[in-house]
Amino acid sequence: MKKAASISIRLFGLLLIAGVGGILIALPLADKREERRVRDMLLTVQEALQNYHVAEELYPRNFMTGAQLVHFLKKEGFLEGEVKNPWTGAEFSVESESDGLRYRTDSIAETYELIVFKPGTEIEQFRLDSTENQSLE
Amino acid sequence: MLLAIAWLIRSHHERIRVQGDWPITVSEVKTFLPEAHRLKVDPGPRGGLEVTNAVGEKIGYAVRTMPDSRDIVGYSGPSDVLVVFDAEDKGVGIAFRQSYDTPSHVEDVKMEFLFMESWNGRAWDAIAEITDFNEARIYGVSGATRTSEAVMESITHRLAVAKGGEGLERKVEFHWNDFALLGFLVGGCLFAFWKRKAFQRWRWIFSVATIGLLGLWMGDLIAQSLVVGWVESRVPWEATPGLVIFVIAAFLLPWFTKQPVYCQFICPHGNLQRWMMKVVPATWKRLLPLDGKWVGRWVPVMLVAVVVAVSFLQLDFDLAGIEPFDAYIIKSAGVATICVAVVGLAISLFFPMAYCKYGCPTGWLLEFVRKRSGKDKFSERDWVGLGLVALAGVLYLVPLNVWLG
Repeated sequence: MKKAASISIRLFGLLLIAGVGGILIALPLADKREERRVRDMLLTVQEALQNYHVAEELYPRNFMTGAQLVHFLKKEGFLEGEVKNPWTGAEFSVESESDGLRYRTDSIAETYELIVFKPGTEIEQFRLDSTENQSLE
Repeated sequence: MLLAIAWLIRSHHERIRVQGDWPITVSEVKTFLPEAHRLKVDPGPRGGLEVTNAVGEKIGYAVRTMPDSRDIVGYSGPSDVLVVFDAEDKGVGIAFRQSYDTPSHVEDVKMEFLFMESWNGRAWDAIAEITDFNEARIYGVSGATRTSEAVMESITHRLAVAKGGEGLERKVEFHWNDFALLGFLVGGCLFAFWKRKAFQRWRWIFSVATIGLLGLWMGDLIAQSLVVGWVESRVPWEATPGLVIFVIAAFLLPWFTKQPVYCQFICPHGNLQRWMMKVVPATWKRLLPLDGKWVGRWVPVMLVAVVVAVSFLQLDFDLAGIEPFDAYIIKSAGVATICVAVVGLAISLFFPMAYCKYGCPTGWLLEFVRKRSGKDKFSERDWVGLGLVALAGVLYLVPLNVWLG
């Protein structure tokens, strides 16, 4: 009886420790996976934006959220295939209030800025622009 | 076992350093070297990949221009270009890998075979020394001038950076803190091995000095973040030779002498716990049940496993936060490390040396290498060590993309 109780305690303790270890890894791993998805999305959108610029000789004029930009570039034929929202895993929805991506340009639409904020914050996570931050490496 | 894990971590990080976010694949190189079978990471100053054929003979060398060339911008961004050399170190071809530049300009450059092939037959050194492209008879692509010029500069810059790194001399320099660390090491050894009573009665002064000078003033405690950092990149012999000798000795002494010199005599946190044991009334002390002790001993193993996983997966996880040692550098200590230090010390008021026994991953590593008396048998700790090697092996062999999606 005593031995069975001892084994149970040890087993429970071991599971608890393994669980804590799992949590310590799982949280930053989830962040890292999301970061990868964001980078991939950003590169796809940036390439489409460059193609738009080649064709129109200007960048899109309006300030846009990620969803608005993706829909705009798709509608104009510069973005082919599916671009998923890296934060939700679903397709970008224009109806959604906001997402982590912001697009803006200057008054004459000759430069662009793509800024990704950490979800729910105003902390900049990634920035791609046509002047100083031209790569993610 | 520890050396095997260290080698796997080192090799993994060399691979990441050379290959970056977009690893060069054999199929890319096969375009220029059809017999290419395997790519071997070269950790040297060239920082590229040795290309071998099916029988393992070196048939060429491949490098990518990024991230060294990230500041060389064409029309709208930099480009990552693959440059392949044959066994005689002569160029056999270049190719765009990934580009932030305007796609149509990149396409124009790709289609301009005269430009793409103008690097063929040129030696690494010759390309690295190019300063005037016209003189070298490499001309930009009309209609994509800036993009092609950026490619030219990226290639010469990448190869020149590697050439500059060759033969770079590093001088070993000892500073006062290196001598202080060696002093603590010698002091620890003396108290561990010279058991004369007249000498041992001064141990309390040494113990206070480790807390005050080594811990709070110098902040040089052996920690997972330090060891893993060295294993991942390189051991800074020339910058902090004293610390390097100190850490190596901390691992070798228990192996050769059976004495855990660092843990028992030098570690400031261990010494602080010893002082706490002395200042609290004996009635406060509690005995941990056997099962509790058994379970507690797995905590450092779990933490070492976490450290291995964090290192391989390159997670955004500050390893200093799992140990109390950074709390001694009060100005820059994070919340996590302070919590571990405070909670560890509080628990050690009731369960003497609790952190050392049931929480310290670095102490567990030092104990792991300690030689024991008696017959050499394959014990529980060896199985645990094998488990950690297996974990490192899996993380090494399974590509990073599988884990990171």
